[in-house]
Amino acid sequence: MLPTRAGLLAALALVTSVIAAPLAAQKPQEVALLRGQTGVEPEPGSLLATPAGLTVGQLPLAAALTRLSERSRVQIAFSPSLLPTGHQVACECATLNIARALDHMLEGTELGYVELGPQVIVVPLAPPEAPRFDATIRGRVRTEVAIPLEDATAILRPAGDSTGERMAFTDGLGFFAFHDLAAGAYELTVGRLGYAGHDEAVTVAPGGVVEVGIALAVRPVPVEGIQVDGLGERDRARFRESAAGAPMEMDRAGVRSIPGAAEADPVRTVDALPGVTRVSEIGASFNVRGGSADQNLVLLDGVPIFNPFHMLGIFSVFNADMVKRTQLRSGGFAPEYGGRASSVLLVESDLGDGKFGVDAGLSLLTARLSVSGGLPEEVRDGFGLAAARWRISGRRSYADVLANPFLSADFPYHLRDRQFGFEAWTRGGSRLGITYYSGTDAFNLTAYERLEHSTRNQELHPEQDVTWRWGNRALGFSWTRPGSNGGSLDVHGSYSRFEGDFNLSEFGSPMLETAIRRLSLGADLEVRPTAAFRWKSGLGLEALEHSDESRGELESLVRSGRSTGLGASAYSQFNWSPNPRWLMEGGLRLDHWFDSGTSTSPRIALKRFLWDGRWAVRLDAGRYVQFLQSVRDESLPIALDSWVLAGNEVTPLVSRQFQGGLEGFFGTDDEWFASAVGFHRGYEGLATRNWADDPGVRSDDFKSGTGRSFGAEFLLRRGKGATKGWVSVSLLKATRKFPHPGRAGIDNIVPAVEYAPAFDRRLALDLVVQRRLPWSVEGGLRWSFGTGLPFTRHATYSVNPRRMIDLRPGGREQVVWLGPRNGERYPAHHRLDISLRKVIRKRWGVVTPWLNVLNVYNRRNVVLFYEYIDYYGQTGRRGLSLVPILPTLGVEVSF
Amino acid sequence: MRQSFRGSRWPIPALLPLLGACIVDWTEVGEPALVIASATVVLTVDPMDSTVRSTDVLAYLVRDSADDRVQGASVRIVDRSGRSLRLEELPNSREVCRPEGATAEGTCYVASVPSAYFEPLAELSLQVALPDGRQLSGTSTIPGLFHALTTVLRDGRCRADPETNYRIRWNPIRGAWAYIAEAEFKGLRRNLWDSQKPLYLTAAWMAAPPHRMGFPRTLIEGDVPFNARKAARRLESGLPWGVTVDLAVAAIDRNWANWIRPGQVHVAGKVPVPSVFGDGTGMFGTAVRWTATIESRDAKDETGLVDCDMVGVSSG
Repeated sequence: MLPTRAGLLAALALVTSVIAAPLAAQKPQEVALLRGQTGVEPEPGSLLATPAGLTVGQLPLAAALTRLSERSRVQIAFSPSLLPTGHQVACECATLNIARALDHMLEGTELGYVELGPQVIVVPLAPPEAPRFDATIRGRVRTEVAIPLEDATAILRPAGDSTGERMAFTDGLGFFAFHDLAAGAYELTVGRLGYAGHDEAVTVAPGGVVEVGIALAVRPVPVEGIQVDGLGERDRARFRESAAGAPMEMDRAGVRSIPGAAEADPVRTVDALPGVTRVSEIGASFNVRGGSADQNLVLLDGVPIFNPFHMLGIFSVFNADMVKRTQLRSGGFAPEYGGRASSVLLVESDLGDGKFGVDAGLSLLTARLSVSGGLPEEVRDGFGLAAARWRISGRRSYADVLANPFLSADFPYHLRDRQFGFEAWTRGGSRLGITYYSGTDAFNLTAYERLEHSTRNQELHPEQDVTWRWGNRALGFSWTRPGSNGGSLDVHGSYSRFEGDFNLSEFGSPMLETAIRRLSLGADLEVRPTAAFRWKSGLGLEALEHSDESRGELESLVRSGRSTGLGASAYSQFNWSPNPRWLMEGGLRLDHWFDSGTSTSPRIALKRFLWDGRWAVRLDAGRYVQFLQSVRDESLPIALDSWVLAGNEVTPLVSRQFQGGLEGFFGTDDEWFASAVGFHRGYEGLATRNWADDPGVRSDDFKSGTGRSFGAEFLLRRGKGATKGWVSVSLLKATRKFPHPGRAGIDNIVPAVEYAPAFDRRLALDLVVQRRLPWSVEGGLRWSFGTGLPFTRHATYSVNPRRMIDLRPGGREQVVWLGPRNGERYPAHHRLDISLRKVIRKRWGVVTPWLNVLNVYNRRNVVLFYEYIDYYGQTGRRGLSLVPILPTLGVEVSF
Repeated sequence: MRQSFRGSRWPIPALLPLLGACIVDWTEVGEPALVIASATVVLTVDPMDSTVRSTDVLAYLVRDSADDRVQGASVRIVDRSGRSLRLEELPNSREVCRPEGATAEGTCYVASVPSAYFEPLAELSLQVALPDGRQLSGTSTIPGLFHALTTVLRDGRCRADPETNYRIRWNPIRGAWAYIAEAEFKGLRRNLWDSQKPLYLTAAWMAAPPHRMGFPRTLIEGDVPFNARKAARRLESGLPWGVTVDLAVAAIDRNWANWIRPGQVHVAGKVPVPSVFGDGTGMFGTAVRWTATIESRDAKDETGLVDCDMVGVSSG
């Protein structure tokens, strides 16, 4: 409601001192509402049209206004407190009217004037019309051959103003968006390492949406040293977008710079991240926050991989040449990920840029080759494709090839794997993706058996076969339809299997055949109705089958049997940022297994950004359900998973998890990231083998137990600059509680046994440094320390089972006695590994010889103890230490 | 010169060179000697009428140290009624308890009891008190009565047709967790079995016992010694003429089954599930068995043996 004229005048009287007027009844608040103008064209006869009749030279503004009022005889009211101090004016205003004279005098001030009754009042200028921040500029970035570019940087600046810069990164579909913009002209700059920059002027109207399509041309740039600065920016983006703890990510350069045993291994490197530990120094399987290894979901381009390890777990099946990046979500992962309780490890394939390229590598263990390329234009046209790219790789161990000429029988072991990835984009913008993996390990000792027979002048029976063969095969496809606002519709399917065949001989010798197969089909829909709200939902169907057949001593490893399961799942999740201070994620997942019923998994995460948004506190909670468990004994250095599907024999594993902490960026250009996280997990329905089961009853083959883990993690990471790396400290206390293995049914009392699981490393510290060194050398260093893992004391002794024929003692048999489960701990583990990579650029490509030195100071870390009796009858314990100081070397070639 | 890569058939030695050298580090740790008790009660029954013909009670105590004997212990087996049977220490364990070729001496405790001192399905407890005050204990229930359903014996002997596989059946036994069949084959020709000792073969049924076995085929489906494979192939089609077989079939209790079955995998070897607890470990097992001697003869041979009257099955 506008104030009345009389009221305004009265209020003005309270604040003016130059001209007194009978306005005492006016309220100061109403005076404050008056706003002036400049450049007014006065009505003829109005006060503002009165001739000024004044010429002044360099007077204070107050004096000039007073002089103008006197000369023109028009009452001009003003408050001296509003006038800028020290502002002097000069005016040749003799021929001007009051309006023009005031325009001249008030120029450069925030003041205007308004004619009000018999007065002209000098008051603050009316503010300009409030701008509307409702415009959007969005678009997709592609290569010249129409392949969407992820992680491209888009920078938007108001035209002619470099101070209002905003930045965004493209997602996996090349999409970026700037929301809540004021209308106007902007300068858009898009760039990505290895591509020419793109500048474009964009003008957007109020409330308008401008879509841009950008194609970046390839422009290779020589890069010295490790280039993971882009990863630092991704860290920032994930920090802003993820409420449930930013997933930890490592790209191929990062993976290669961390020293590995034989060659870069994307999975072996994850134990350098906080909260991740590894039971065995030689094994690649890992444990996250007190969860067993089978609780980790390992996805290759969305396809789950069972037993993703070669050599019974010594290193992973993933060829680093094919890996674009790995991402570990160690807790609080979204409802879209189901089926595992502890973590999700995403392995993303690198399919190249659609142009022909070759990468090759040679390590002490394997030789590998990968070839990438695109499709000829006529082929693309034939299939209606705008772009396509693919990469195929192969890897094989070669020890057998080198050794066979010098051996009487073939070297018994080799591994090989093949991987293929294909991605195509239709002219309509849809994406089609295909992933294939096949890997095999083979031990064939038949030749040695034959050799052994020949030394005894015996012939090996033709049917006798001593072969171990196991491996994965996986195939996945996806079809993605991008939405105009950054969302997408994704339809996907996959088939994944692991099979192992361990035949030792005929005549009842140990034999084991194990297989697990999974077929799945699903669809996900993501929409972004507003810039602050994202919603994603999906449906899935999966069929699981696992079968095991064992005989002889290998019955201990895997129980014979076959089970199948059919499951359906649905989830819905959201990501909502109601204001710049808060970010909320949540959702619900429903899993239905036709033998186990329906389970509900709600999850919620809250993040509150602090100060300038570079720090945040977060808290999340969730329920995680796992229907497929492995009962593998993780205290064994290497072993296969032995799966059991929830149903009649075991219940689904349920884990309730809480975690929260503080995290943020600091330093110049935010190159440092720090976080402190605490967590608690409870487990119900953990399955383990019942070694004292009734052989005639299948329902007691497993025992169900509970577990708990809690701890804290601290991370300090530098993501930019010549020296990068991190230091992490992880604290953990994990327990498991199961019924006593031997007493069930004897006393009718089944006492519980509580123990620390084999992966309960109470304190772990990791230091990882990556640094560019002179002469184009990239240096990597990793020092790790961990307090001792628990183990069970054991002793071996002989027994003499009685023969039933004559009740005399039979042959002597050596057996093992176990002490209190995990009642003791190994000594602390620590080790220093270094890597050096020399990048040699040739006209035709890049050659990178590398050298890793493991365990630089030759720390003898004990991996297992065994008891012994010496000559004098003294019992003792010996520790076995693997991995002495061990230099390994290799070379990589890329062109 | 071509090198031979022989030795262990297990692939681990082949794998280790791939990992680089392995170093063994060691630390001296003093540990108290572990005492292992292995006690058994076996009832031998007549397969034709199920009467208990003898009861055999034995306990073998050994210590995991240079002097492995455990002398002066009190070893008792107590039934549910409170009747206690004390086992006496033998001065020399070699004949009764110690397996052939074993270096361990140990100490053997036995009891002489009437033929039917314990009845099938009796609940027994083992109580061991060592001179130093340590104690071990365990419990067991003897499996139920056991008799053959198809086999006809006279004085424990019968005749079977050569080159024929038979099926031997018995009644389901209450409380039996597993069945064991053992056989010693005598009279095999030298080209099949080149040893002065009889060929010893065994088989066990742990899961879902079928209460029957193929004879002799089932016995070659278990672990066959390397030097017996030729004989085993010959036995697939039945007993050669003139071969005599001492056969024992036993039903064993839970403890015994857990002791002999493949258990938890450990890098040091097999981990049996113990049934003796306290200041040591071990097994207290019970079994019911019957034995028979089967001779492979033509029906027209005038040996005076009764026909075993077992059900013949395919000889292929």
